[in-house]
Amino acid sequence: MTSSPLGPGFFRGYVFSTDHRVIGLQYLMTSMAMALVGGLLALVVRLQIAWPDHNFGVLSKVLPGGFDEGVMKPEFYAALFTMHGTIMIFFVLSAALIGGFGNFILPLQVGARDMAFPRLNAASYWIYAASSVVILASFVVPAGPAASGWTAYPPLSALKGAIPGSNLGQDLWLVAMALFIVSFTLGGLNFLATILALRRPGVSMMDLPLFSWSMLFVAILGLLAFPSLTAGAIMLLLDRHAGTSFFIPAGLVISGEAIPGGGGSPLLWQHLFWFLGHPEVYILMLPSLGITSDLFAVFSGRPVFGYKSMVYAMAGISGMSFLVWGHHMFVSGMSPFLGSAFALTTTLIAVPSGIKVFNWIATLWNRPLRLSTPMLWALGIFSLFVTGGLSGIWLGQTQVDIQLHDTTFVVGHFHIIMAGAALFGIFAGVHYWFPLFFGRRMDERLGGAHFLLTFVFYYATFFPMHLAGLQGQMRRVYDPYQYEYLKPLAPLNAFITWAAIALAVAQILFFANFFMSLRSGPASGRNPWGSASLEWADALPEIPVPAGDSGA
Amino acid sequence: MDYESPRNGSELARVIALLTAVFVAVAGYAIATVALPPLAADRGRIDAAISLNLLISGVVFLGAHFALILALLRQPKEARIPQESVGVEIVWTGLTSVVLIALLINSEIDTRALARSTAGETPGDPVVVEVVGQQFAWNFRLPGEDGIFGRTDPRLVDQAELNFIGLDKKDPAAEDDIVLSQGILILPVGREVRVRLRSMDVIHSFFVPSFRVKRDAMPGLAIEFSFRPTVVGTYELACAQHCGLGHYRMRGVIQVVPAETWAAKVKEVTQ
Repeated sequence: MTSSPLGPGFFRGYVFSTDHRVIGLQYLMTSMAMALVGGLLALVVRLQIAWPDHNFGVLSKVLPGGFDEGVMKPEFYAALFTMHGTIMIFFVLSAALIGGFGNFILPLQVGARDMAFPRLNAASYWIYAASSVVILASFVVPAGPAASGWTAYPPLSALKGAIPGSNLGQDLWLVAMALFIVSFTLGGLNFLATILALRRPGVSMMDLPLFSWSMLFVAILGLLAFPSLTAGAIMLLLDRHAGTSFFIPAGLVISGEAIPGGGGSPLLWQHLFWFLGHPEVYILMLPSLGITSDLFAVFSGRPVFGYKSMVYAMAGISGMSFLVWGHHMFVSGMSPFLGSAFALTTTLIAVPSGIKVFNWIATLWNRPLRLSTPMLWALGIFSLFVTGGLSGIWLGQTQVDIQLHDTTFVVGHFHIIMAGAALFGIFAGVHYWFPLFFGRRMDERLGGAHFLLTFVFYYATFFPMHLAGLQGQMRRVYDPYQYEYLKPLAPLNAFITWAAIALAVAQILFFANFFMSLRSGPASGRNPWGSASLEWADALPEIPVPAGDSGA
Repeated sequence: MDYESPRNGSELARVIALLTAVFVAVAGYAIATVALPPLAADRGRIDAAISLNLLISGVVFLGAHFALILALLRQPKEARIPQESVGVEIVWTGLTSVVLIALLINSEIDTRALARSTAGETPGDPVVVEVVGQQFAWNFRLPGEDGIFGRTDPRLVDQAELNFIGLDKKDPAAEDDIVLSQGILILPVGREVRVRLRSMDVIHSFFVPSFRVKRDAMPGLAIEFSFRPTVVGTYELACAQHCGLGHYRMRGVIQVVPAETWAAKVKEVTQ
């Protein structure tokens, strides 16, 4: 509604907007840009694992800081996997599913005009944007970005001499996490208030689509779990700069020099980190599970089978996700009695997950199915959820975990279940809600090809990692072939890298489809999929919404 | 709805069936050929548990994908919505719970058995050894005749003197301590080895794939566990926890020798 595309109306309408739909798209676009960064980091990691002695001539010209005469530096490798994990988990998957879909779709699904607190919502996005800038800035600081893994275990992350990345890069990492948590907290409060207080009259909680339910649980998980990492991040910053030693025991020696201080415990960080870290995994999973359930219902033309039990299963998964964090610490020196308790909770969280799988099959059973692209992604999530859930049961058993902990089996497991289900959920959601975002449809043929290639190469990349892990290949290793027993795995690791490259190349189809459809996709009509859900019910005003009609 | 989907279910079912078949063939062949590293300690329970899990996972994986393929194939013309049945859901939930609880009980039995000391079952049990991780090497120490480890002090660490763990040589208990050269541990076959695991700096993880042993070396804690090597040979010790830029080369070697020649062998390498 502005006369000039770059006039003051442009900034209020598209940039500093408080409209939930604009904010949702801002989140989605930013997270797509971050996904490019995170994905490329993973490819460089894979190149190094497959061909550790290789002279990466061209790459070393692009990233001169990370290479020494064409050979990758080990500290750069550590920085790569650290930043890959951090960016993907927080800045891509969380941001796209919750910031993107949540903001755009949730108010529409509950029948609200906007989020409960639109300004808070805008603040949430801009703090996320700031934290993205901080995490990206750490690539150009002296000694490079954080390199202690996305889990940032002290003392490695606490002591400057322990690894080059444990300097300014680690500080920026902690600041970026703190900012991200602030952003997520503002968003979570908003979601909670919107779902509980702004439902259209006549819309009860039990009328809500399962995606809306997933947003409710995600908001609760985030509000209850993130503070523990906030505390941890502040304590770690204090350990690094104020001379405290929350996480540093007495008597450490780094490169021959005694470290002052003492009395702290590195295990304390692991408890604080995983008290957030495990619910965070479900924060990424639940939206995809909600989307899958809703899409199965829409594309099989019936309500989801066992709607109530689906809600209870989600509630069960959410509640139990607070009681399983110790399974990350089975071999850490934590009491074995605690290990037994965490094995119990971890194994039992598979029960509500099993209910979901059963209800999904029952929803599809005996129905004429429409297999449009969003439905393909939902079927892909079904497969990944089963496969990744099964390997999760392996890792939840303490004796099996002894052999598989910290191997590539774990990497394969969480990429299939958590990263895979979340990523496929993003693709499902983008294809499904594209008409709502832009009034156009994405191309079905490109969408189908993109799905098939992604599905095949996703398995080809991450399933063999289980095999390498069973044979004892450690994760986060710069050159596996220092070990005699890992030398026979070289062809397997090269295969994984080729599959990862193919997986990355296949994503060109998505970006091509996205931007071509944005420009010239066929008009979609108001409710192209024939959904009964509220987000498709009303004609939406154009973006940007004319002044005075924003509902704010 | 505004437009029809370009795909039909039976076509996709065939694609998924084909993909599942290819996947099962390739994965099955791979799993059959790439076993765990050869077992060389008394921890075969872990291998048995992995086999059990593989079997159950294989059945569930196939079952779930088979059900999906069937659901895609069965596309009736008349739109019928199957009745919801609480009974079926309860049976299903009960079934999964039973399998999971059985696995859990098995895990608990195994974990307790693995943690139990078998010391005293053979003469001379157990061999006590201190393992100390540092960036990026493993240090090994035996307590000697007196069975007592001498005092250590981080201020006494002296790389030039090869005193990596800061052993206090003035302590009488330290006199007969045997410090092995970095990275090479020598153990007798068939005797229980009780490890006292420490770290000098950051978190490391003591991982011997052939022994099915993995424990984190947690700074500030001394962690004890035991195992019994069963096959004479040379095995690799890896660090499994990211510990810095040299994590990948924090390799050690464990030589398991006949029990009779062990003491002589240790003496030989320390002189």
